[in-house]
Order: sequence, then structure tokens, then C-alpha cells
Amino acid sequence: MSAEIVALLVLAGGAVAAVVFTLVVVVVVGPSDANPRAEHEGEKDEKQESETS
Amino acid sequence: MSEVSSVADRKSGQPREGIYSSSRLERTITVLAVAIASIGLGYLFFTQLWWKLPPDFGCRDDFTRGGLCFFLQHAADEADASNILLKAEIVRSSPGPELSVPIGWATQLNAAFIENFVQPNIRWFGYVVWSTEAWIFLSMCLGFFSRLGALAAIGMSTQLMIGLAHTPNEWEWSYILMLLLSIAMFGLAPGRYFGLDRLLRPRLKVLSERGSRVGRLLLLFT
Repeated sequence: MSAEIVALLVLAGGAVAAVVFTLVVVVVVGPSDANPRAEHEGEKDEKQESETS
Repeated sequence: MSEVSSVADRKSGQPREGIYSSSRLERTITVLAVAIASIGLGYLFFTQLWWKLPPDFGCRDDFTRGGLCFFLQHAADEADASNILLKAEIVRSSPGPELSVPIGWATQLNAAFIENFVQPNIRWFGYVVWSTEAWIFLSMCLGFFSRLGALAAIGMSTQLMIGLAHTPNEWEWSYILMLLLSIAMFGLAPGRYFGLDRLLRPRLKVLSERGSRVGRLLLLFT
């Protein structure tokens, strides 16, 4: 197998591993424990602001 | 003063304008700009993976010439080429730049590091270099532990800037801009805007609040 093919497989494997790791964390911690929509700092800021007013 | 105006804004019901805009258009522009910059930085490192592929990293003649070995030798050979960076020639008639930053000590340190550590261990250290660049590509393009990816990009860009920016036939700002972009990405942590970190971060925060050390450490990387 050529070095280019191996490198492409390594990169593809890395990308898949990153997505799988994220999905595992999402499933294990669970959607009820965390609210990803509030994560964007801007959105979070606005939410807090609307709560105070 | 700013606190007072902020409180006044809240009381009057005015939307507070700061780095986080309340306008959806503004937020979309921010997310798009951060995503383009991050993916662009990742793609830069992607393009540099192919001329130094393992297992020989493009080197020839028993790891003495070509590919990664050429650039390592070049950086070591040119350590004395120039000892300044960020040159500004304000008065064109004046001999030499009036403003500059001395980096002679850094280029000498870099050359000593290359000659005494990197070159003798290139057979395995080449994998470290290649893997780091591959990691930066994945991290910046997927927004996956993007602050860690940006930190790696800062390290790589700094080494390249010190080693090559001052050498003949190089435009020093290409290396400096790469470092500045890496610093900007480190500050912004682009994955929070568009990538996998957006999904990971709230969960890692929960783990961190439950007392998980791993969760706390991983949260730092996002």
C-alpha cells in the first residue's frame, strides 16, 4: 500500500474516531444533563440577560 | 462606567451590544468567519502533509537530504542568516530597518535543538511532526478539541517562524501571519462556534461539575 493511501486512511480514521468519541460522550452524559444550545457563549449570554429582565 | 451603562441598558430593555451580538445576522457572520479561518488554517497544515509522508518523510540518502530533512538542515544552516524579525523600513534612504525584533538567541536555540535532538532522532521524531500537523488539520476542520489543536498550531508556527522566516527568499510575514492566525484560533476556540466542541463542551462541563478530573482536563482542550 502506498504511503499516500496509508496517510489518507489515517486521516479518515482520525476523523471517524473524533466523531465517534463525540457521539459516545453525547450518549453517555445524556441530553438531559446538558443543553448544547446554551453552549454558544453568545446565546448563553442572551439567555441570562432575558432571565434577569 | 461600562458596568453602569450595561445596567442602564438592561433596565431600559435595550439589547446589549458587545462581542456577542444579539442579532442573528451578526452571529451568523461571526460563526462563518471563525469557521472559514479555522478550516483554512487546518487546510494549510493538510497541504503540508504530503511532501513529508512517513516513513521516510521525503528524506533521501539515509535521512540526510530532501523533504523534511532538507528544511531541518536549512533552518540549522541559516541560523545566522539574519537575527531580526518584524522589520519596518520607515525611512527608505536609511541603511537597514529602523524597527525590528532581535531573534538571534531564538534562532541559535532552534538550531541547537534541531542538530542535537531532532536530526539524530528523525526516524521517530518525523512521526511526531507529521502526526502533530495531521492533528491540527483534524482539530481545526472538525472543531474537535480546537483549543488544543490551536495550541499545537501555535507551537508549529512558532518553530517554523523562528527557523525559516528570517532566511533568504522567504517573506517573513507568511510565517508571522500563520502564528497570528493560530493565536486568534486559540483565543476563539473555533469548535465552540461550528464544530464537535459545541456538542462536547456542555457535556464535559457536566462531567467537570460532577468532579471528574478527565472531564475538567478535556474541557480545557475545547
